[in-house]
Amino acid sequence: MTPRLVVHVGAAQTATTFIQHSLHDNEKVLSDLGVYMPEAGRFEFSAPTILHQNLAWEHLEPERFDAKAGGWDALVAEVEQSPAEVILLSSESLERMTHSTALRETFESQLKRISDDVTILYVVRDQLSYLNSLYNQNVKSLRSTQTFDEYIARISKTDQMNLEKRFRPWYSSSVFEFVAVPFENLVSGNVLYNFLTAARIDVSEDMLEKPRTVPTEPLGPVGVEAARLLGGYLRILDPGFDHRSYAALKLYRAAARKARENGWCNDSFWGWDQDLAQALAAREKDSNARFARSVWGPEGRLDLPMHKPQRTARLVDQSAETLSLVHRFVGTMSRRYLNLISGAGPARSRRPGKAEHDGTETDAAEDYEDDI
Amino acid sequence: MSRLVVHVGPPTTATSDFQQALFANADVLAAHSVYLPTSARLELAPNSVCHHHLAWDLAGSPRFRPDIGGWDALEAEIADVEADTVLLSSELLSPGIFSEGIEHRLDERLAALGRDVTILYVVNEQLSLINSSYTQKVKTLTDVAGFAAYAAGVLRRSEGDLERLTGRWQRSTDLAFVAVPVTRLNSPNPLVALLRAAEVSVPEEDLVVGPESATISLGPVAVEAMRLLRVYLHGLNQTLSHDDIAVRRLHRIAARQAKDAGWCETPYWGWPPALAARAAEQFEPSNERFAQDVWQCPWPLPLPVDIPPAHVQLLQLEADELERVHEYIFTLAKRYTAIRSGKRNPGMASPEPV
Repeated sequence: MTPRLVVHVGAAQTATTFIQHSLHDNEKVLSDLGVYMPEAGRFEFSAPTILHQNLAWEHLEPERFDAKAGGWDALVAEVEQSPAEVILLSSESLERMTHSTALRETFESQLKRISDDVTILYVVRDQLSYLNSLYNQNVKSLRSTQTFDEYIARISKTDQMNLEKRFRPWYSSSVFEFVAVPFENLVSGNVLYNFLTAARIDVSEDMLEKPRTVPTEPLGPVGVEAARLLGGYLRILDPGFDHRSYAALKLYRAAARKARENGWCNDSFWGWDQDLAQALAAREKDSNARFARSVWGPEGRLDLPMHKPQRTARLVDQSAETLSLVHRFVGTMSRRYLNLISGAGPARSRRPGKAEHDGTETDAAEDYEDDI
Repeated sequence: MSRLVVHVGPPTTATSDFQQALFANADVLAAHSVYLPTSARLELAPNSVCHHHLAWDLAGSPRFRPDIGGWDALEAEIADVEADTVLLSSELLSPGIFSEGIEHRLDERLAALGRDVTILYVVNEQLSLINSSYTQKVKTLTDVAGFAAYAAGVLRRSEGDLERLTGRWQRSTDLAFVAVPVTRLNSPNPLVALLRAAEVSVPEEDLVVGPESATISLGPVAVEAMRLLRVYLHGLNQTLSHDDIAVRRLHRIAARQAKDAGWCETPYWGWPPALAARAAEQFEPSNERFAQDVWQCPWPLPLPVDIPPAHVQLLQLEADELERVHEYIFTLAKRYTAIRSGKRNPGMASPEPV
């Protein structure tokens, strides 16, 4: 008999980092409960965490796949040696395996190699909050310098916000149990406990270690604009700028800390204006309704926060004092970037090893590749 | 019938020098029956004879100011002028020949002035012209890609083709077309050379030399610094346009500061050799046709395909030079903010070292 397999597939920006850090910190507790979190496929850049990004990259981004960290073959072999009753995998990048029929079929066949009792656990956020958060993260990690509207326009050309289309095949699968957890429920109280409970892993809340980290703060309106400005500046300064380079990864964490110190994370960014929000709501209305009814029953609903007021900023409207801070922020961070790429460190390395990690705040979601 | 001579540039062919020399010699020219209309002159260049408002009037540009006047005002102004020659100058009129919807209006406007029209056009080889037009776009803080992408776009759209740029004027029976090779502008100066080419008879000894050229040609570091400045300003203000009055004021200051920083001492040359060779292959046949048709001689302006590129990446600069670039950006960004908010002397402290 195969063990039960629980696969946490995100979504990104749904406390995934917090969950993955907490899973690592509770590895012993979970092991005592018969839960095993395989070594194969783990991503080694982040601080101690349980993050199986390599499994996703094997199919989605072969150039990022690290053979030494192992892929699906290594995972199958490792699980065969484990006496555990439950195998737990976590990677928000696996969500992208739902983006096409071919990818889904590949994903399913890999899962079937491990178990015939698979739970796919997905944390659901309404699309407005989700995209707002994803955008914020993309800007913060210097991945994108687009405006919010440009970003949404790009995503709107795809149907990847369509939950029904992506998850319908699993609603009534005989092999795959699909568990959709509303984000609000997950973060109400003890996140790890809620997560494990949703995964049908019996644990008592007081057995779990206290959280090591708090979820990373998103940028506020001025922070978003300042980070976009920094991203554009760096790309002119260094035409070879790569947001995945070691220098860029280190820099954005430093920039995020500085943004917080500057008070640019004290209020929350909300990029949606009413028209844009209504356009998305109209498009996803039917799909959301079918998804919610199918996964949560006849009363299930996935409501969008339609009336949340837009909270964005234009730098040009800021006070001289704020603009001065912005100038210094960009100047300081660009100098820091130059030091990083000219220093003895592996500035241009795309795949730094664990030893190179600076030990500062990490966020696995920050490495999420939202190619939507 | 008296004549109308229209100097149409194109841009980056010593047009500012010519226009400033016209202003400096206005009295001499008037004494020799050459009239320089006051309508439609660019208000931002009071010491220059530059009729940009004619082009903006034609194009329906928001920069057109009816109080300064366009074609109607010009027509009214020169209706009773008895001078032998009326002379207009605006390099912005040169695109009028190929801009859809404008070309016929330009013809009609010229015809309505009731004079024998001569179009005066300065011809340069395309590599230098494209190189100059690129640095001009950078200098005016226009949104422009890196040089190679820009030049490749120009080639793809055949924008440097002289048939496209002048063909309709060459073949027109309603006007005379006079093309002057750019190399002739130095014999002895643009004013004399262009008046001579247009057969405007003014004794050379009566003409004074115009002011020394104030045009700043950006050097390699200046090009990159100003591109960075543009991106930074756009980051500050998403609606930034090179047409904004604040941006137009700023770009002049920025170019001066770039020159003061020593970033314009060597000329910028963006052409990668392979792209230059491709451009030459594309332009040479039509250049030869142009030369035979217009000058009845071989093409006299060889394309300089062998000039080595002269550009830099900012990351190649020494740390202290790069630091000066940062200071330049942040100082000018503060200046831009001050200009927008109406302050004249914002106090240009550099950002504190961190």
